[in-house]
Amino acid sequence: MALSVNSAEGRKVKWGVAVDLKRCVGCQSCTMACKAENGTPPGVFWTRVIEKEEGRYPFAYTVFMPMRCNHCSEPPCVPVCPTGASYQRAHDNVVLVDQDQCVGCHACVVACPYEARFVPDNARGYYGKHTTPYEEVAYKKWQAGTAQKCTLCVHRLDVGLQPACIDTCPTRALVIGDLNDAQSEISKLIKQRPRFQPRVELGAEPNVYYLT
Amino acid sequence: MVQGFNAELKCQQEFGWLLSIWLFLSGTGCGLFVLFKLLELPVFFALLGLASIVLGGVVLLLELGSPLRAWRGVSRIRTSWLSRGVVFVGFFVLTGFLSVAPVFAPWLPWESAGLGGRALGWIAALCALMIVLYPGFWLAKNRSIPFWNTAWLPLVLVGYAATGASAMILLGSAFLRNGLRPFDALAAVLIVLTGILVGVYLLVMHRAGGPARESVRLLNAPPLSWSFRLGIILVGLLLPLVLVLWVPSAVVLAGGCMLVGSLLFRYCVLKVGVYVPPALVQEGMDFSRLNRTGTDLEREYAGMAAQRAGGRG
Repeated sequence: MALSVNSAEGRKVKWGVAVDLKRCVGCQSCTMACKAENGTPPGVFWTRVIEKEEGRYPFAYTVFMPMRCNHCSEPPCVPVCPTGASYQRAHDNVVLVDQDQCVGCHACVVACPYEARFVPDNARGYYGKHTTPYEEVAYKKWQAGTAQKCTLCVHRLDVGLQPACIDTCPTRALVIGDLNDAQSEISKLIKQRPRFQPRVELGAEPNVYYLT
Repeated sequence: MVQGFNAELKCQQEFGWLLSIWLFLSGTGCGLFVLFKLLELPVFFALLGLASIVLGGVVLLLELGSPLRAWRGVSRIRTSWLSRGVVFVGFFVLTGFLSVAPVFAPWLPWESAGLGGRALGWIAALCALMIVLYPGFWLAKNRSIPFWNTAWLPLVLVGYAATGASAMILLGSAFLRNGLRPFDALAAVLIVLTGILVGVYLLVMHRAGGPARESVRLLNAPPLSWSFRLGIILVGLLLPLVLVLWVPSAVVLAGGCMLVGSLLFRYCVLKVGVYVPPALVQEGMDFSRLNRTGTDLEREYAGMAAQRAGGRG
Protein backbone atom coordinates (compact mmCIF):
# COMPACT_ATOMS: atom_id res chain seq x y z
CA MET A 1 0.00 0.00 0.00
CA ALA A 2 1.31 3.43 -0.87
CA LEU A 3 2.23 5.77 1.92
CA SER A 4 1.04 9.36 1.99
CA VAL A 5 3.39 11.76 3.73
CA ASN A 6 2.85 15.50 3.79
CA SER A 7 6.51 16.34 3.65
CA ALA A 8 6.48 20.09 4.16
CA GLU A 9 9.63 21.83 3.02
CA GLY A 10 12.42 21.53 5.59
CA ARG A 11 10.31 19.62 8.13
CA LYS A 12 11.85 16.51 9.60
CA VAL A 13 9.70 13.42 9.31
CA LYS A 14 9.18 11.52 12.56
CA TRP A 15 8.07 8.05 11.67
CA GLY A 16 5.83 6.40 14.21
CA VAL A 17 3.95 3.14 14.34
CA ALA A 18 0.63 2.71 16.10
CA VAL A 19 -0.30 -0.79 17.18
CA ASP A 20 -3.97 -1.31 17.88
CA LEU A 21 -4.01 -3.97 20.57
CA LYS A 22 -7.76 -4.36 20.17
CA ARG A 23 -7.22 -5.43 16.57
CA CYS A 24 -4.11 -7.58 16.93
CA VAL A 25 -5.02 -11.26 16.91
CA GLY A 26 -1.46 -12.58 17.32
CA CYS A 27 -1.37 -14.21 13.88
CA GLN A 28 2.37 -13.46 13.41
CA SER A 29 1.75 -12.30 9.83
CA CYS A 30 3.98 -9.29 10.50
CA THR A 31 6.69 -11.64 11.80
CA MET A 32 6.60 -13.72 8.64
CA ALA A 33 6.29 -10.74 6.30
CA CYS A 34 9.43 -9.26 7.85
CA LYS A 35 11.25 -12.57 7.47
CA ALA A 36 10.25 -12.84 3.83
CA GLU A 37 11.11 -9.21 3.05
CA ASN A 38 14.42 -8.99 4.87
CA GLY A 39 15.65 -12.60 4.87
CA THR A 40 16.70 -12.61 8.51
CA PRO A 41 18.64 -15.65 9.79
CA PRO A 42 17.14 -18.49 11.83
CA GLY A 43 16.07 -17.44 15.32
CA VAL A 44 16.19 -13.74 14.52
CA PHE A 45 12.94 -11.80 14.28
CA TRP A 46 13.12 -8.08 13.69
CA THR A 47 9.44 -7.92 14.51
CA ARG A 48 7.53 -10.50 16.50
CA VAL A 49 4.30 -10.75 18.43
CA ILE A 50 4.88 -11.70 22.02
CA GLU A 51 2.08 -13.09 24.07
CA LYS A 52 1.23 -13.46 27.70
CA GLU A 53 -1.53 -15.33 29.42
CA GLU A 54 -3.40 -13.28 31.96
CA GLY A 55 -6.08 -14.21 34.47
CA ARG A 56 -7.09 -17.68 35.60
CA TYR A 57 -9.43 -20.27 34.15
CA PRO A 58 -12.27 -19.75 33.28
CA PHE A 59 -11.36 -16.09 32.89
CA ALA A 60 -8.01 -16.59 31.22
CA TYR A 61 -7.11 -14.59 28.15
CA THR A 62 -4.04 -13.99 26.02
CA VAL A 63 -2.61 -10.53 25.49
CA PHE A 64 -0.70 -9.99 22.24
CA MET A 65 1.89 -7.33 21.70
CA PRO A 66 3.81 -6.89 18.44
CA MET A 67 7.38 -5.94 19.40
CA ARG A 68 9.83 -4.18 17.11
CA CYS A 69 12.47 -1.51 17.01
CA ASN A 70 10.84 1.68 18.24
CA HIS A 71 13.08 3.95 16.15
CA CYS A 72 13.35 6.04 19.29
CA SER A 73 13.92 9.77 19.25
CA GLU A 74 16.72 9.25 21.81
CA PRO A 75 17.92 5.77 20.82
CA PRO A 76 20.10 4.28 23.59
CA CYS A 77 21.69 1.91 21.05
CA VAL A 78 23.33 4.71 19.06
CA PRO A 79 25.61 6.47 21.59
CA VAL A 80 27.00 3.19 22.99
CA CYS A 81 28.31 2.10 19.60
CA PRO A 82 32.11 2.47 19.63
CA THR A 83 32.44 2.68 15.85
CA GLY A 84 29.53 4.86 14.81
CA ALA A 85 28.03 1.93 12.89
CA SER A 86 24.70 2.54 14.64
CA TYR A 87 23.21 5.80 13.52
CA GLN A 88 20.00 7.71 13.11
CA ARG A 89 19.18 9.20 9.72
CA ALA A 90 19.43 12.97 9.63
CA HIS A 91 16.14 13.60 7.81
CA ASP A 92 13.98 11.29 9.90
CA ASN A 93 14.23 9.13 13.00
CA VAL A 94 14.99 5.77 11.38
CA VAL A 95 17.78 4.00 13.31
CA LEU A 96 20.06 1.92 11.09
CA VAL A 97 23.30 -0.06 11.26
CA ASP A 98 26.14 0.38 8.81
CA GLN A 99 27.26 -3.24 8.75
CA ASP A 100 30.56 -2.37 7.07
CA GLN A 101 31.56 -0.44 10.19
CA CYS A 102 30.12 -2.72 12.89
CA VAL A 103 32.61 -4.74 14.96
CA GLY A 104 29.94 -6.94 16.56
CA CYS A 105 30.68 -5.89 20.14
CA HIS A 106 27.05 -6.51 21.23
CA ALA A 107 26.99 -3.21 23.17
CA CYS A 108 23.92 -2.01 21.27
CA VAL A 109 22.16 -5.34 21.77
CA VAL A 110 22.17 -5.03 25.55
CA ALA A 111 21.54 -1.28 25.44
CA CYS A 112 18.28 -1.67 23.53
CA PRO A 113 15.39 -1.94 26.00
CA TYR A 114 13.22 -3.54 23.33
CA GLU A 115 15.49 -6.48 22.53
CA ALA A 116 15.31 -5.41 18.91
CA ARG A 117 18.95 -5.88 17.91
CA PHE A 118 20.71 -9.06 16.94
CA VAL A 119 24.21 -10.26 16.12
CA PRO A 120 23.97 -13.56 14.20
CA ASP A 121 27.24 -15.44 14.53
CA ASN A 122 26.90 -17.29 11.24
CA ALA A 123 25.05 -17.22 7.95
CA ARG A 124 23.66 -20.73 8.11
CA GLY A 125 20.16 -21.14 6.76
CA TYR A 126 17.10 -22.88 8.13
CA TYR A 127 17.98 -26.22 6.56
CA GLY A 128 21.46 -27.00 7.87
CA LYS A 129 24.67 -26.50 5.91
CA HIS A 130 23.17 -25.66 2.54
CA THR A 131 21.25 -22.47 2.01
CA THR A 132 18.16 -22.41 -0.15
CA PRO A 133 18.16 -20.27 -3.32
CA TYR A 134 16.03 -17.72 -1.47
CA GLU A 135 18.44 -17.64 1.47
CA GLU A 136 21.39 -17.25 -0.88
CA VAL A 137 19.89 -14.08 -2.27
CA ALA A 138 18.40 -12.74 0.97
CA TYR A 139 21.46 -13.36 3.15
CA LYS A 140 23.48 -10.99 0.97
CA LYS A 141 21.60 -8.15 2.70
CA TRP A 142 23.44 -8.63 6.01
CA GLN A 143 26.79 -9.79 7.38
CA ALA A 144 27.33 -12.44 10.04
CA GLY A 145 29.07 -11.14 13.16
CA THR A 146 27.57 -7.66 12.88
CA ALA A 147 24.50 -6.10 14.41
CA GLN A 148 21.24 -6.08 12.52
CA LYS A 149 17.80 -4.71 13.28
CA CYS A 150 14.49 -3.55 11.87
CA THR A 151 15.15 -0.94 9.20
CA LEU A 152 11.50 0.07 9.06
CA CYS A 153 11.90 -1.26 5.50
CA VAL A 154 13.66 1.94 4.40
CA HIS A 155 14.02 0.49 0.92
CA ARG A 156 10.23 0.55 0.70
CA LEU A 157 9.67 3.64 2.83
CA ASP A 158 11.95 5.76 0.66
CA VAL A 159 9.92 4.94 -2.46
CA GLY A 160 6.61 5.69 -0.74
CA LEU A 161 5.63 2.17 0.28
CA GLN A 162 4.68 0.91 3.72
CA PRO A 163 6.96 -1.50 5.58
CA ALA A 164 6.20 -5.14 4.76
CA CYS A 165 4.87 -5.96 8.25
CA ILE A 166 2.37 -3.12 8.16
CA ASP A 167 1.29 -3.87 4.61
CA THR A 168 0.65 -7.49 5.55
CA CYS A 169 -1.31 -7.10 8.78
CA PRO A 170 -4.70 -8.67 8.00
CA THR A 171 -6.56 -6.83 10.75
CA ARG A 172 -4.95 -3.45 10.04
CA ALA A 173 -3.69 -3.36 13.59
CA LEU A 174 -0.53 -1.57 12.48
CA VAL A 175 -0.48 1.99 11.21
CA ILE A 176 2.59 3.96 10.17
CA GLY A 177 2.81 7.68 9.64
CA ASP A 178 4.51 10.96 10.38
CA LEU A 179 4.11 11.93 14.01
CA ASN A 180 5.13 15.50 13.16
CA ASP A 181 2.13 15.84 10.85
CA ALA A 182 -0.95 16.58 12.92
CA GLN A 183 -3.19 15.53 10.01
CA SER A 184 -1.66 12.07 9.56
CA GLU A 185 -3.76 9.01 10.41
CA ILE A 186 -1.36 7.99 13.17
CA SER A 187 -1.43 11.43 14.84
CA LYS A 188 -5.22 11.37 14.83
CA LEU A 189 -5.33 7.84 16.23
CA ILE A 190 -2.93 8.73 19.01
CA LYS A 191 -5.02 11.78 19.87
CA GLN A 192 -8.29 9.87 19.92
CA ARG A 193 -7.39 6.61 21.62
CA PRO A 194 -5.95 5.66 25.00
CA ARG A 195 -2.38 4.58 24.37
CA PHE A 196 0.98 3.86 25.91
CA GLN A 197 4.57 3.82 24.76
CA PRO A 198 6.62 0.79 25.77
CA ARG A 199 9.04 1.32 28.66
CA VAL A 200 8.84 5.06 28.13
CA GLU A 201 10.28 5.56 31.62
CA LEU A 202 13.69 4.48 30.28
CA GLY A 203 13.97 7.80 28.46
CA ALA A 204 14.43 6.56 24.91
CA GLU A 205 11.34 8.40 23.61
CA PRO A 206 10.06 5.42 21.61
CA ASN A 207 7.96 6.13 18.54
CA VAL A 208 5.75 3.06 18.72
CA TYR A 209 2.37 3.66 20.35
CA TYR A 210 0.15 0.87 21.59
CA LEU A 211 -3.51 1.76 21.35
CA THR A 212 -5.62 0.12 24.05
CA MET B 1 20.52 -16.84 19.19
CA VAL B 2 16.79 -17.29 19.38
CA GLN B 3 14.33 -14.60 20.29
CA GLY B 4 11.60 -15.56 22.71
CA PHE B 5 7.97 -14.98 22.02
CA ASN B 6 6.87 -14.78 25.63
CA ALA B 7 6.77 -11.79 27.90
CA GLU B 8 8.51 -13.13 30.98
CA LEU B 9 11.57 -11.64 32.64
CA LYS B 10 14.55 -12.53 30.49
CA CYS B 11 18.29 -12.47 31.04
CA GLN B 12 20.64 -11.05 28.46
CA GLN B 13 22.23 -13.78 26.36
CA GLU B 14 25.00 -11.79 24.73
CA PHE B 15 27.74 -11.78 27.35
CA GLY B 16 29.25 -14.80 29.07
CA TRP B 17 32.66 -16.24 29.87
CA LEU B 18 34.69 -14.32 27.30
CA LEU B 19 33.53 -10.93 28.49
CA SER B 20 33.90 -12.03 32.13
CA ILE B 21 37.51 -13.06 31.47
CA TRP B 22 38.15 -9.73 29.76
CA LEU B 23 36.64 -7.81 32.69
CA PHE B 24 38.71 -9.92 35.08
CA LEU B 25 42.01 -9.57 33.22
CA SER B 26 41.71 -5.87 32.48
CA GLY B 27 40.44 -5.01 35.98
CA THR B 28 43.02 -7.10 37.80
CA GLY B 29 45.92 -6.10 35.54
CA CYS B 30 45.19 -2.40 35.74
CA GLY B 31 44.52 -2.59 39.47
CA LEU B 32 47.91 -4.21 39.82
CA PHE B 33 49.60 -1.46 37.85
CA VAL B 34 47.97 1.22 40.02
CA LEU B 35 49.13 -0.60 43.16
CA PHE B 36 52.59 -0.96 41.61
CA LYS B 37 52.83 2.82 41.35
CA LEU B 38 51.21 3.60 44.69
CA LEU B 39 53.12 1.03 46.73
CA GLU B 40 56.34 1.16 44.70
CA LEU B 41 56.32 -2.59 44.08
CA PRO B 42 58.99 -4.43 42.08
CA VAL B 43 58.82 -3.90 38.30
CA PHE B 44 57.74 -7.54 37.90
CA PHE B 45 54.23 -6.51 38.98
CA ALA B 46 54.07 -3.75 36.37
CA LEU B 47 54.93 -6.28 33.69
CA LEU B 48 52.34 -8.69 35.08
CA GLY B 49 49.72 -5.95 34.93
CA LEU B 50 50.65 -5.03 31.37
CA ALA B 51 50.64 -8.66 30.25
CA SER B 52 47.24 -9.10 31.86
CA ILE B 53 45.70 -6.17 29.98
CA VAL B 54 47.23 -7.31 26.67
CA LEU B 55 45.83 -10.80 27.23
CA GLY B 56 42.48 -9.23 28.14
CA GLY B 57 42.54 -7.34 24.86
CA VAL B 58 43.10 -10.58 22.95
CA VAL B 59 40.14 -12.16 24.77
CA LEU B 60 37.98 -9.14 23.91
CA LEU B 61 38.92 -9.55 20.25
CA LEU B 62 37.60 -13.12 20.42
CA GLU B 63 34.30 -11.77 21.76
CA LEU B 64 33.85 -9.44 18.80
CA GLY B 65 31.77 -10.59 15.86
CA SER B 66 34.17 -8.91 13.41
CA PRO B 67 37.54 -8.62 15.21
CA LEU B 68 39.41 -7.42 12.11
CA ARG B 69 37.52 -4.15 12.35
CA ALA B 70 38.46 -3.59 15.99
CA TRP B 71 40.54 -0.55 14.99
CA ARG B 72 37.29 1.25 14.29
CA GLY B 73 36.57 1.13 18.02
CA VAL B 74 38.02 4.58 18.64
CA SER B 75 35.51 6.38 16.43
CA ARG B 76 32.98 7.48 19.05
CA ILE B 77 34.96 8.80 22.01
CA ARG B 78 32.39 11.52 22.62
CA THR B 79 29.54 9.13 23.42
CA SER B 80 30.76 5.55 23.85
CA TRP B 81 32.51 4.23 26.95
CA LEU B 82 33.82 1.31 24.91
CA SER B 83 35.45 3.73 22.52
CA ARG B 84 36.99 5.69 25.40
CA GLY B 85 38.18 2.40 26.86
CA VAL B 86 40.05 1.52 23.68
CA VAL B 87 41.86 4.87 23.89
CA PHE B 88 42.69 4.36 27.58
CA VAL B 89 44.05 0.88 26.83
CA GLY B 90 46.17 2.19 23.98
CA PHE B 91 47.67 4.96 26.12
CA PHE B 92 48.13 2.60 29.07
CA VAL B 93 50.00 -0.05 27.10
CA LEU B 94 52.20 2.55 25.42
CA THR B 95 53.06 4.63 28.49
CA GLY B 96 53.20 1.60 30.78
CA PHE B 97 55.77 -0.20 28.62
CA LEU B 98 57.76 2.98 28.07
CA SER B 99 57.86 3.69 31.82
CA VAL B 100 59.42 0.31 32.64
CA ALA B 101 61.39 -0.16 29.42
CA PRO B 102 64.67 1.40 30.73
CA VAL B 103 64.95 -1.47 33.22
CA PHE B 104 65.47 -3.82 30.29
CA ALA B 105 66.94 -1.36 27.78
CA PRO B 106 69.37 0.91 29.64
CA TRP B 107 70.36 2.61 26.38
CA LEU B 108 67.04 4.44 26.27
CA PRO B 109 67.36 8.20 26.84
CA TRP B 110 65.18 8.23 30.00
CA GLU B 111 65.31 6.29 33.27
CA SER B 112 62.48 4.54 35.09
CA ALA B 113 63.33 6.43 38.28
CA GLY B 114 63.95 9.71 36.45
CA LEU B 115 61.44 12.47 35.81
CA GLY B 116 60.47 11.15 32.35
CA GLY B 117 60.03 7.57 33.53
CA ARG B 118 58.03 8.61 36.58
CA ALA B 119 55.80 10.90 34.53
CA LEU B 120 55.14 8.10 32.03
CA GLY B 121 54.42 5.74 34.93
CA TRP B 122 51.87 8.07 36.49
CA ILE B 123 50.17 8.68 33.13
CA ALA B 124 49.97 4.89 32.74
CA ALA B 125 48.57 4.56 36.27
CA LEU B 126 45.92 7.18 35.51
CA CYS B 127 44.95 5.32 32.33
CA ALA B 128 44.92 2.07 34.32
CA LEU B 129 42.51 3.64 36.80
CA MET B 130 40.22 4.64 33.93
CA ILE B 131 40.42 1.11 32.50
CA VAL B 132 39.31 -0.21 35.89
CA LEU B 133 36.40 2.24 35.90
CA TYR B 134 35.12 2.30 32.32
CA PRO B 135 33.61 -1.20 32.03
CA GLY B 136 31.52 -0.37 35.09
CA PHE B 137 30.41 2.93 33.56
CA TRP B 138 29.62 1.18 30.28
CA LEU B 139 27.49 -1.50 31.94
CA ALA B 140 25.87 1.00 34.30
CA LYS B 141 24.72 3.08 31.34
CA ASN B 142 22.40 0.30 30.15
CA ARG B 143 18.97 1.36 31.37
CA SER B 144 17.52 -1.76 29.84
CA ILE B 145 19.13 -3.90 32.57
CA PRO B 146 18.40 -2.42 36.02
CA PHE B 147 20.84 -4.74 37.81
CA TRP B 148 23.70 -3.03 35.97
CA ASN B 149 22.10 0.41 35.78
CA THR B 150 23.42 1.59 39.13
CA ALA B 151 26.41 3.55 40.41
CA TRP B 152 27.14 0.63 42.74
CA LEU B 153 28.34 -1.58 39.89
CA PRO B 154 31.44 0.49 38.95
CA LEU B 155 32.23 0.72 42.67
CA VAL B 156 32.03 -3.03 43.16
CA LEU B 157 34.12 -3.61 40.04
CA VAL B 158 36.76 -1.23 41.41
CA GLY B 159 36.67 -3.19 44.67
CA TYR B 160 37.17 -6.45 42.82
CA ALA B 161 39.94 -4.95 40.67
CA ALA B 162 41.79 -3.95 43.85
CA THR B 163 41.14 -7.34 45.46
CA GLY B 164 42.35 -9.15 42.36
CA ALA B 165 45.44 -6.95 42.24
CA SER B 166 46.24 -7.69 45.89
CA ALA B 167 45.73 -11.40 45.12
CA MET B 168 48.32 -11.08 42.35
CA ILE B 169 50.68 -9.45 44.84
CA LEU B 170 50.14 -12.35 47.25
CA LEU B 171 50.82 -14.85 44.48
CA GLY B 172 53.79 -12.91 43.14
CA SER B 173 55.34 -12.42 46.57
CA ALA B 174 55.70 -16.18 46.90
CA PHE B 175 58.00 -16.20 43.89
CA LEU B 176 60.08 -13.19 44.87
CA ARG B 177 63.18 -13.58 47.00
CA ASN B 178 62.22 -10.93 49.51
CA GLY B 179 58.58 -11.62 50.36
CA LEU B 180 55.98 -8.87 50.51
CA ARG B 181 54.43 -9.79 53.82
CA PRO B 182 53.19 -6.30 54.77
CA PHE B 183 50.69 -6.55 51.93
CA ASP B 184 48.77 -9.38 53.59
CA ALA B 185 47.02 -6.76 55.69
CA LEU B 186 46.16 -4.78 52.55
CA ALA B 187 44.60 -7.91 51.03
CA ALA B 188 42.53 -8.47 54.17
CA VAL B 189 41.26 -4.88 54.16
CA LEU B 190 40.38 -5.07 50.45
CA ILE B 191 38.54 -8.37 50.91
CA VAL B 192 36.45 -6.87 53.71
CA LEU B 193 35.74 -3.69 51.73
CA THR B 194 34.79 -5.64 48.61
CA GLY B 195 32.57 -7.92 50.68
CA ILE B 196 30.77 -4.90 52.12
CA LEU B 197 30.39 -3.35 48.65
CA VAL B 198 28.96 -6.59 47.24
CA GLY B 199 26.55 -6.85 50.18
CA VAL B 200 25.33 -3.27 49.82
CA TYR B 201 25.04 -3.63 46.02
CA LEU B 202 22.91 -6.75 46.28
CA LEU B 203 20.80 -5.28 49.07
CA VAL B 204 20.12 -2.13 47.07
CA MET B 205 19.22 -4.20 44.01
CA HIS B 206 16.96 -6.46 46.04
CA ARG B 207 15.14 -3.45 47.44
CA ALA B 208 14.83 -1.88 43.98
CA GLY B 209 12.36 -4.65 43.06
CA GLY B 210 11.32 -5.74 39.57
CA PRO B 211 14.04 -7.04 37.25
CA ALA B 212 16.83 -5.99 39.68
CA ARG B 213 15.33 -8.14 42.42
CA GLU B 214 14.92 -10.96 39.93
CA SER B 215 18.67 -10.70 39.18
CA VAL B 216 19.46 -11.08 42.88
CA ARG B 217 17.07 -14.02 43.07
CA LEU B 218 18.79 -15.67 40.11
CA LEU B 219 22.13 -15.37 41.90
CA ASN B 220 20.66 -17.42 44.71
CA ALA B 221 18.92 -19.98 42.52
CA PRO B 222 20.34 -22.85 40.47
CA PRO B 223 22.39 -22.99 38.31
CA LEU B 224 24.27 -19.89 39.56
CA SER B 225 23.71 -20.37 43.29
CA TRP B 226 26.76 -22.65 43.56
CA SER B 227 28.99 -20.16 41.78
CA PHE B 228 27.66 -17.32 43.91
CA ARG B 229 27.53 -18.86 47.36
CA LEU B 230 30.43 -21.26 47.12
CA GLY B 231 32.62 -19.56 44.54
CA ILE B 232 32.15 -15.86 45.24
CA ILE B 233 31.24 -15.69 48.92
CA LEU B 234 33.00 -18.69 50.47
CA VAL B 235 36.01 -19.31 48.21
CA GLY B 236 36.38 -15.75 46.93
CA LEU B 237 35.93 -13.76 50.14
CA LEU B 238 35.62 -15.71 53.41
CA LEU B 239 38.27 -18.40 52.89
CA PRO B 240 41.04 -16.01 51.71
CA LEU B 241 40.22 -13.64 54.57
CA VAL B 242 40.72 -16.46 57.08
CA LEU B 243 43.88 -17.65 55.34
CA VAL B 244 45.42 -14.18 55.10
CA LEU B 245 44.68 -13.36 58.72
CA TRP B 246 45.40 -16.66 60.44
CA VAL B 247 47.34 -18.97 58.08
CA PRO B 248 50.25 -16.89 56.73
CA SER B 249 51.82 -19.93 55.09
CA ALA B 250 48.81 -20.28 52.78
CA VAL B 251 48.80 -16.81 51.20
CA VAL B 252 49.34 -18.32 47.75
CA LEU B 253 46.17 -20.37 48.18
CA ALA B 254 44.42 -17.25 49.43
CA GLY B 255 45.53 -15.33 46.34
CA GLY B 256 44.29 -18.11 44.06
CA CYS B 257 40.92 -18.19 45.83
CA MET B 258 40.54 -14.42 45.54
CA LEU B 259 41.19 -14.59 41.80
CA VAL B 260 38.65 -17.39 41.34
CA GLY B 261 36.03 -15.40 43.27
CA SER B 262 36.87 -12.27 41.31
CA LEU B 263 36.35 -14.01 37.96
CA LEU B 264 33.15 -15.73 39.08
CA PHE B 265 31.68 -12.47 40.37
CA ARG B 266 32.02 -10.87 36.96
CA TYR B 267 30.52 -13.92 35.26
CA CYS B 268 27.55 -14.04 37.60
CA VAL B 269 26.87 -10.30 37.34
CA LEU B 270 26.81 -10.55 33.56
CA LYS B 271 24.67 -13.68 33.44
CA VAL B 272 21.92 -12.35 35.72
CA GLY B 273 21.39 -9.15 33.74
CA VAL B 274 17.60 -9.20 33.45
CA TYR B 275 15.91 -6.89 30.96
CA VAL B 276 13.06 -4.60 31.92
CA PRO B 277 10.08 -6.68 30.75
CA PRO B 278 7.52 -5.37 28.29
CA ALA B 279 4.44 -4.08 30.08
CA LEU B 280 1.72 -5.94 28.27
CA VAL B 281 -1.11 -4.90 30.50
CA GLN B 282 -1.27 -1.19 31.16
CA GLU B 283 -3.48 0.89 33.36
CA GLY B 284 -6.56 1.96 31.48
CA MET B 285 -6.85 -1.22 29.41
CA ASP B 286 -10.40 -2.51 29.61
CA PHE B 287 -10.55 -6.22 30.35
CA SER B 288 -13.95 -6.11 32.04
CA ARG B 289 -15.58 -8.11 29.24
CA LEU B 290 -13.03 -10.86 29.73
CA ASN B 291 -13.93 -11.17 33.40
CA ARG B 292 -17.55 -12.12 32.86
CA THR B 293 -18.81 -15.01 34.96
CA GLY B 294 -20.21 -18.18 33.40
CA THR B 295 -23.75 -17.10 34.26
CA ASP B 296 -23.17 -13.71 32.61
CA LEU B 297 -21.89 -15.43 29.47
CA GLU B 298 -24.85 -17.84 29.39
CA ARG B 299 -27.24 -14.91 29.71
CA GLU B 300 -25.42 -13.02 26.99
CA TYR B 301 -25.43 -16.01 24.61
CA ALA B 302 -29.10 -16.62 25.33
CA GLY B 303 -29.80 -12.96 24.55
CA MET B 304 -27.84 -13.17 21.31
CA ALA B 305 -29.65 -16.38 20.30
CA ALA B 306 -33.02 -14.79 21.04
CA GLN B 307 -32.05 -11.72 19.02
CA ARG B 308 -31.06 -13.93 16.07
CA ALA B 309 -34.25 -15.97 16.32
CA GLY B 310 -36.28 -12.73 16.45
CA GLY B 311 -34.47 -11.45 13.38
CA ARG B 312 -35.31 -14.57 11.42
CA GLY B 313 -38.95 -14.51 12.56
